[in-house]
Amino acid sequence: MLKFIGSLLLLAVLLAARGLYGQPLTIEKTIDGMPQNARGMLATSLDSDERLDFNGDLVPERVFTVQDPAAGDYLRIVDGTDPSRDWIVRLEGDPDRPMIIGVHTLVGFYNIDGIVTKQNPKEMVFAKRVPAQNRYYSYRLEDVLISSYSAVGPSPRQPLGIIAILIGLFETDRDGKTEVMLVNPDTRQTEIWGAP
Amino acid sequence: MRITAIACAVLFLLPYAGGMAQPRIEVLRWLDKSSPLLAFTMRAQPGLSDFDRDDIPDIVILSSAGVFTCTGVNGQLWEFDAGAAGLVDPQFLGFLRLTATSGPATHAAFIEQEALYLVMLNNKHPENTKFEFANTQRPHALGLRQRASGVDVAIVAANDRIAVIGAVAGVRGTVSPMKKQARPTITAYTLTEKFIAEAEEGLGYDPDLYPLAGEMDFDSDGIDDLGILISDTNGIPVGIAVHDGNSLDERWRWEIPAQYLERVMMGMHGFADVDGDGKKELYCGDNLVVFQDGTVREIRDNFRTRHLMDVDRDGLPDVIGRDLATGRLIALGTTTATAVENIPSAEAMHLLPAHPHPMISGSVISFSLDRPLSVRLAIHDMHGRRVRTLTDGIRDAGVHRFDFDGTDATGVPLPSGGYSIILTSATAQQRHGIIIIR
Repeated sequence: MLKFIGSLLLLAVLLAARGLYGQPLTIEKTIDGMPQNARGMLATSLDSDERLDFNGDLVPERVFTVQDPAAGDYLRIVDGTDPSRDWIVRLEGDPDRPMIIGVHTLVGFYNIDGIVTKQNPKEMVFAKRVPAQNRYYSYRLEDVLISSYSAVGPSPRQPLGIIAILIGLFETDRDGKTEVMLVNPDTRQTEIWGAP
Repeated sequence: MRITAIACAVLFLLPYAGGMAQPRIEVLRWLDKSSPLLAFTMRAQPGLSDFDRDDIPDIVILSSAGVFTCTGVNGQLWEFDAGAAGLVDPQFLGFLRLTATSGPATHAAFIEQEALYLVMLNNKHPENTKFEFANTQRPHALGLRQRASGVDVAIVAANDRIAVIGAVAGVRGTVSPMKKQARPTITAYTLTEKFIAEAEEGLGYDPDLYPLAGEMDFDSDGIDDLGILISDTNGIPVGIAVHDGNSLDERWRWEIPAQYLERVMMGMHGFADVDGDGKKELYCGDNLVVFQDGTVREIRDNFRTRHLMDVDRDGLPDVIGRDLATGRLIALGTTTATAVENIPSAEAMHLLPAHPHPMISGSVISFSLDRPLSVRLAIHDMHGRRVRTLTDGIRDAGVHRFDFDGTDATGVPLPSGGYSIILTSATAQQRHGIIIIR
């Protein structure tokens, strides 16, 4: 019975929420071939300050990864304007990726769904950093996850593929939403994902 | 406005005109350092991937057919069939602007075997300039964008030398003078704790994705400088030489004391004026700071440096690292009182309100500088996105005016609403609001 009530509550939360909830990203464009200039580079139109700005006030927040061996690591985002305010972000794990935060790195906060308000701040982009076999600060970001913020529990996430390599985050079609450029090494194609 | 648009279009397309002459490109300078290693340079070098110079890196994709395609936010920008141009196994390095234009890049750089190719970006008649580096493994190129003069150079490390390659006419950029160092010398390196994280808290983001602005800019001219590792005849590092990113002249040399060598080689965090004395220090290794007079100190007992960032937005960078005794993440910097006394005057730049305002068809946005300064003037939307950059680079002292026609970077009219005008330098930011009415 409790499980049933819990399921109803979760459903209510999902229906009431906006943005990415129940709105998976889709491939908007596919390009034949793989990027040649992408290692160690993240193509993005946002400054460092903008990428660390969660609530859209143009002030970067302080972001911490908090170790919690029992329930899983989580993210604590301290408001850059008001340090007494913070957001706690937990990502639900799965058997393949039990500790998402901690293993993945926060790439930044981006407006994926086109809505930035106090109730619906920017989306969080996570990826796993893998050293590349090259010299000089070379690495790649793969296993890409995008999550929205939820104050009531683990944030739903949009997995974009364990092996997908993150290349860029910018707006390509002037729809007010940031698109995600990924490489699919299996198909040797470059894909642009976005919220419909 | 229409004339301005036509003029811009002509300037943009000019480098692609079939009749454009290939600039004379040569090895402008050899830097003999006994080691091809670079101590540091620009990290991700987004400028080298920016074909159209809209400040957004573009993506170069190699198709299965062997064709390089450059894609940006405006769609496909460039296509190049390397095989048809005689390149067999090229490795793309970046785009360079080798002539002083305000338009996009003029050349693409490729490495193939023991040679550097500079391919003129003319789709009809691509011309290659080849520079061979015999008896070496693949030379690795580390381009440097010379923003002051608007002309780039390719910096190629091969064997025991570093070659600076560029257009002969374009090498004479503005030489950045060393800053006067009349500010008081710090006698004690005492930093204040800006914050101490909870015991279980770590840095929540990858610091390499968030480089401090200007952290490789030794002389604070807004251009990243080049750090070259100097080795002895046995290949053992003995020092670091810093070359100005604009003139490429050597500006600072530091001989690494033997007792610090192992710790220095743990990595470079960059230059920053954390103590607020007006002179940047080099932060390197696990816990070391090197002052410009060569003095080396530990930042703090039991401390391990992670990266540099202005955590409290007081205009001065702070050192973020871990206190090894407590295990806690900690930020160290100078106090606000000291900072106010020592940081470059915020009055060096003044952003003026746009007029007319609210804006209907166009406004003039102005700022003044008390001294030459690297600044960026940009329009941001209510979500914080930068939608238009009006200027970005070193500007002389005086008043600078820019016509803003209410369009974004692609020329599309921005919708009605509130926007922010933000003027940013390496150490300060000023902003005004602007309302667009359609």
